Amino acid sequence: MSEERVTSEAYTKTVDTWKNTNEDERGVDVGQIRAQLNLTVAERVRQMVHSANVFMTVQENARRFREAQTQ
Amino acid sequence: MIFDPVQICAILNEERVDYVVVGGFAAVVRGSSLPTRDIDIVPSRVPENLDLLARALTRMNAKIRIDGDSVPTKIDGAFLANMPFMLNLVTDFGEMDLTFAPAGRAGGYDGWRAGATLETISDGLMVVVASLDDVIDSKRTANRAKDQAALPYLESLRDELRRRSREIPNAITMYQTAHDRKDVAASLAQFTLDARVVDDGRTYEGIDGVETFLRKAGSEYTYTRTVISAEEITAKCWRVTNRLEGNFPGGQVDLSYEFHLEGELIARLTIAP
Repeated sequence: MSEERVTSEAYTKTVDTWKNTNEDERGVDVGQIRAQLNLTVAERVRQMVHSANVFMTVQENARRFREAQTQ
Repeated sequence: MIFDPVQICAILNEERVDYVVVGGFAAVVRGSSLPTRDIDIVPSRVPENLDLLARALTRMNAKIRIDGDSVPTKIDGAFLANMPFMLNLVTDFGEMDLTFAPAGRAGGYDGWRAGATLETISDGLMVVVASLDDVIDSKRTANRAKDQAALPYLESLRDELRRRSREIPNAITMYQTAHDRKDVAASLAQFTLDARVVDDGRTYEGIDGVETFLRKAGSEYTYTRTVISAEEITAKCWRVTNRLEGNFPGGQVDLSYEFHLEGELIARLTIAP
């Protein structure tokens, strides 16, 4: 990477080209919505339940770590 | 603690409880990818149903959830009947909220049930799920910070669903929804008199042949249908891919439905894997 790319001006140009053309007027990624709608209902539920349980496990582990730190 | 809303619904169904799934879980069923860690239901307040609900909750070892703690309580029909608005519970399968009168125009169970549909959330498990319109209206009315955060996404989801259903010609939509509920007359009304249906290599000619096909198709099994894609091939030809899930061998199949229209009706339908 050349030094030119780390100037703020260069980053501004780069950010412009990163604009997400999948976003609608609300700023919502419609591509993500369409990908979700391609799943069946059962697949959506399975994915959500898995994500929720992973999230809760991460939260619980973080909580235990914090408690251990304060002891 | 695990979150297993499928098991919660399975127990509710086994006890024959009348309820509608609402809130974030209902939104997931409708296509939302916003996370949720509990399941919200609106149960019927009919006394017999509250007794059945109490039995289901006892099976799940439900406790009242207050400020992060769980309080064991004897839950019976009379107890539930005394709950005016809401009961927050924690069960062996995760958190669950009973909402007797959620915010929004739908009101109580009857209002939510009117707009709800039966959906398959897991193999062989069908539950009544609130419409996305009712979920959005409820969140807009409740107007909590988390509702405000979710609304743009849910409204864009609704726009996409409307766009998908609007573009498909009426005859195709009417045929598919009538066929889903096994309404042969309403399905048949979408075909021309000299229509032809080809299904699994077999041809059914004319309106009588199409009627034979409609009576035969899906008569052995129960299934739910999800539109995977809908593509306009020409002005008079559409290809719709439907994913069927049910109690037939294999449990799931994607089928391509090619519709050729004459005027407003279906003249030819070819169904193939």
